[in-house]
Amino acid sequence: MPEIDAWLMLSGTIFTVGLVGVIIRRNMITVLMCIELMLNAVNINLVAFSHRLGSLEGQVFTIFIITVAAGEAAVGLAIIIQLYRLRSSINVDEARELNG
Amino acid sequence: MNLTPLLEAHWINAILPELVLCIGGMFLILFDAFAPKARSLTGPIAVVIFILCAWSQRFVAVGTFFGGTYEVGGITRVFDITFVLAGILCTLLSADYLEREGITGGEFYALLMWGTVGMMMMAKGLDLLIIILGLELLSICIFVLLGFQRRLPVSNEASLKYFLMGAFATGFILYGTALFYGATESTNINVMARWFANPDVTITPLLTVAFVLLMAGFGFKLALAPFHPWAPDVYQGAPTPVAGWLSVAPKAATLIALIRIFHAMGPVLPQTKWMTIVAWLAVLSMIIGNSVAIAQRDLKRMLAYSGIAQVGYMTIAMLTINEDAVASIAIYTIVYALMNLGAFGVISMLAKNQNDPQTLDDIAGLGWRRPFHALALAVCMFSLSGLPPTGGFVSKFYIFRTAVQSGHTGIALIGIITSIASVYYYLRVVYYLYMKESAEGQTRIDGGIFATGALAISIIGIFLIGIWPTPLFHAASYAAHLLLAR
Repeated sequence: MPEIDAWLMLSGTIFTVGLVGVIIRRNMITVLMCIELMLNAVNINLVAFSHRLGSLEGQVFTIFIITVAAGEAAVGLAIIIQLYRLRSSINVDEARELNG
Repeated sequence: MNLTPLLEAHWINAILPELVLCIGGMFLILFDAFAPKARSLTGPIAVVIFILCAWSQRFVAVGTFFGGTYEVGGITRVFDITFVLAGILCTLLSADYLEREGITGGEFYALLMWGTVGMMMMAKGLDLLIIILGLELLSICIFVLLGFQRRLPVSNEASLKYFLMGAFATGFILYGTALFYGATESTNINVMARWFANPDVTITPLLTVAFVLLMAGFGFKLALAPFHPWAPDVYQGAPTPVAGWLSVAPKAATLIALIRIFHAMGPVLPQTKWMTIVAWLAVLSMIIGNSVAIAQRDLKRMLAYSGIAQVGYMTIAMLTINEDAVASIAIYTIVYALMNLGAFGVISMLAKNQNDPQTLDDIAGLGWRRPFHALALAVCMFSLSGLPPTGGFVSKFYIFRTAVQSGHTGIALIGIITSIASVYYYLRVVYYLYMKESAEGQTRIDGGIFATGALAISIIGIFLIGIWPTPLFHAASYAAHLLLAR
């Protein structure tokens, strides 16, 4: 198996784990972690491609994704804290006031 | 990404509107911190900053900047009009809304400005990296803006739902981008375009997966069916002016980014089924959006479903990227900004607890109590349903004509039929405004001078474009021509 395929499979697996986690887990912190997993799978992908292509673009991209993920996590945690203050729980299903 | 030369001449002119908004936002936050007594001035100052941004467009340098990653041209100027217009309308509406809701703070407007910067980056980005950074800047601002009424459970819930959906969608977009990078060996759209234009290129399953992931991610952001379920909940819970802004401006930014990507893929699209996927998304959006909207009594939910349908119309034009398609989407987004923000504006003036839904009963008989506000809502509804002589008619006609000329007659027909069905729920609002008696203890309409000004801008804009669309058409067509000439 060529090297790149192994990396792609690894990143695909991690992405799927994150994806399934976001869908089935109800704890907001776990969901946030699963989203981070998805983003990190992308990073592995980009670095693997960057290595194979011999171009730096993928690695630059990765640095930016790490930064963006940090910003997103910060805002996400703030939203979760507010959810906890309002409902004393961080279960996603608690937030179900809005539906038509 | 060719990093030499790093900075071209006039680069500062290229990002002047963005700079104005960035610095303006920071100034507002500092103003808020150091002059707490003058907080009521933050709204007017924000409007002035947006107007400065529009004025700075005069000095913008046209061309490609930052190592071929940032393109400023005619079409980005046209879309900048949409973004700034949406920003000004939202600021005007928020000034009164925030005061009534007891929210003070310049950071509200600062986030609005930085979100606008994100959209401008998405429109001008010639590199997937810039587009995604713009998208993230925009998304993070929206997360905070949606949850701005943090003591209200619905606002927090809207923010939470958009955060989950947005972060999820970002994961999809990024994964698709990574796969495109692996296949085309670059994230630069021009380099990708050259790769796709190569006649020997073969479409591997990997590329199809990448496209599907990308479309799923952007579909979430656009609220295209079947990725739409977040939209009604988020709009209902969000502060109303923010909901109006969210329903308009980010969609425009996502559409122009998609236009660039689709244009780069142009040469291979005939040999793939990719556009069939997009066509199905459009058809589903139009049918689901228009049929579910009929059942809604909550005004914001109804507008959310109507927005899903409206994006469906715009997506029809995307099926074949040509000059008319790009121009019609540009015009549609401007008109859509005017009419949707106008409609949300009237709803934002309903003085009732924001935790409760704003339903049709709240506006019953409004036509006799507050004629101007009722007129504004009625005009927006007529325009949304696409009746002449409003801008909605002109732009919708242009979209469907473009689709028919590109050979998508069947889809255009579905669009026209669903759009006729949509007249029912839009005009039901007008019926409630004028034909229903207002009940005892009716919800008051609380509109200050700023919000009323925003409504006036909406009405004038809708009729201006509806009656005299030629200048805008010429500008948009010429801009689209320049974009696609490469």
